[in-house]
Amino acid sequence: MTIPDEMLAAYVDGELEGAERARIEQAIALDSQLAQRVAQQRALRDRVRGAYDGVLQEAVPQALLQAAKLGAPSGPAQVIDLARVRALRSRSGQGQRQMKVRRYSIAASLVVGLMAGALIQRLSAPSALTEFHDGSLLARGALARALNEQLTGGAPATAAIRVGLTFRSRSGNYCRTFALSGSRALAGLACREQEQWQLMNLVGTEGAGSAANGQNLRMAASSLPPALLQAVNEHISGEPLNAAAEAKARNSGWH
Amino acid sequence: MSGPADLLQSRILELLPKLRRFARSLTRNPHDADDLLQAALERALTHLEQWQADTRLDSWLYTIVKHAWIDELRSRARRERTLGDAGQAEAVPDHRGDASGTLSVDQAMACLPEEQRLAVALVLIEGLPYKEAAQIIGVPIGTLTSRLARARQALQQLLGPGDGA
Repeated sequence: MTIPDEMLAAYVDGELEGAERARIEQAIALDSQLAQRVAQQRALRDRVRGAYDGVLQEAVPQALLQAAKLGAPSGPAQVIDLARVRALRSRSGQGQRQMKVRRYSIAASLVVGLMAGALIQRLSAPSALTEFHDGSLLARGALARALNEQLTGGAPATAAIRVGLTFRSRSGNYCRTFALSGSRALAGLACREQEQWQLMNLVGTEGAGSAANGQNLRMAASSLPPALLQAVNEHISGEPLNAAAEAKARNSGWH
Repeated sequence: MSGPADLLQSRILELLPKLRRFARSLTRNPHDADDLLQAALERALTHLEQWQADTRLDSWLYTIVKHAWIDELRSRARRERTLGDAGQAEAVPDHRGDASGTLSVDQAMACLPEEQRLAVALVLIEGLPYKEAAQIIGVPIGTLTSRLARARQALQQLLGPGDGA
């Protein structure tokens, strides 16, 4: 009986079961040459694996332990990338991304679940500032009011919610950055979607440098947390609106 | 932080040694491997929502390491093109020469094409089932098995009969 190399390899790799496995084992028992080929395959596997086994015994470097910790204080700012999930969902018609999209959309309702849980908890207490609706996080309450009404620089430095940049996104919608001060130190980006402010990104600003702290948070582009700045760069089309254009946009209901 | 997140975190921590080994076998350099893994972990943790609870966490993390590695290779290639130099060219032994049977496993691995090395790393070193490995690489199982067969042949030739085997 001739047994191809691939079959022997599958046997050595533990991929064969039941009758197939039994057939090979029987053949090995009857054929010393075949037994030698199997031994050779096993030896190769053991040798290759053995060369890397030492890594398992090494102490894992501190930087990696730190990187593996959720929301580690010294790690990068926590970013909830809602835009990504949303963008992928909206592209779900494209076959090329189909498989990925399926994965994303199943998970979409969990976006805020794990990592972001703590941030969202901060957001939702004491009065709800956000609502999770159909896979999107929407601004509510005081946050929605501030995004609707507040003009950049129009709020006192001590305000709990301060709106920063206003700009048009690549799809033509208005987007605004905002910051929550005090114990809920968060900065975010919200864009207009179907008459609502949809949160695209949230960045926890604690530990991300004192510049992002409380009333010192001036929402000039230069003081945006880097992760948020990156989100702005991904969305923005042209330049941020000046005061006059912003007021005009507000007065026309952000259409 | 809630219970499930804690549990997930401890599972990721437990997987770190294996992920390091995987990164090491791809990059064949301890520093590059840890840098790669660090970048991959950051990606994983900011996209934790993409992991489906009914799939293997290790496979998901291997996939992210693989993506990060491919990105790194691409940016190295870009750098080489833009800088017009050999970049990080390593002294890769030429396996078509007369080096047969005299190489270390690491050197032999360095001779494999990237796609074969990835298959060897996942199946021979990490011990994953073909099905998982094929999914991570993003190819049908048949493609994986033929890559493995070619890789084994090459390794066998490069490494020689081996010690006492």
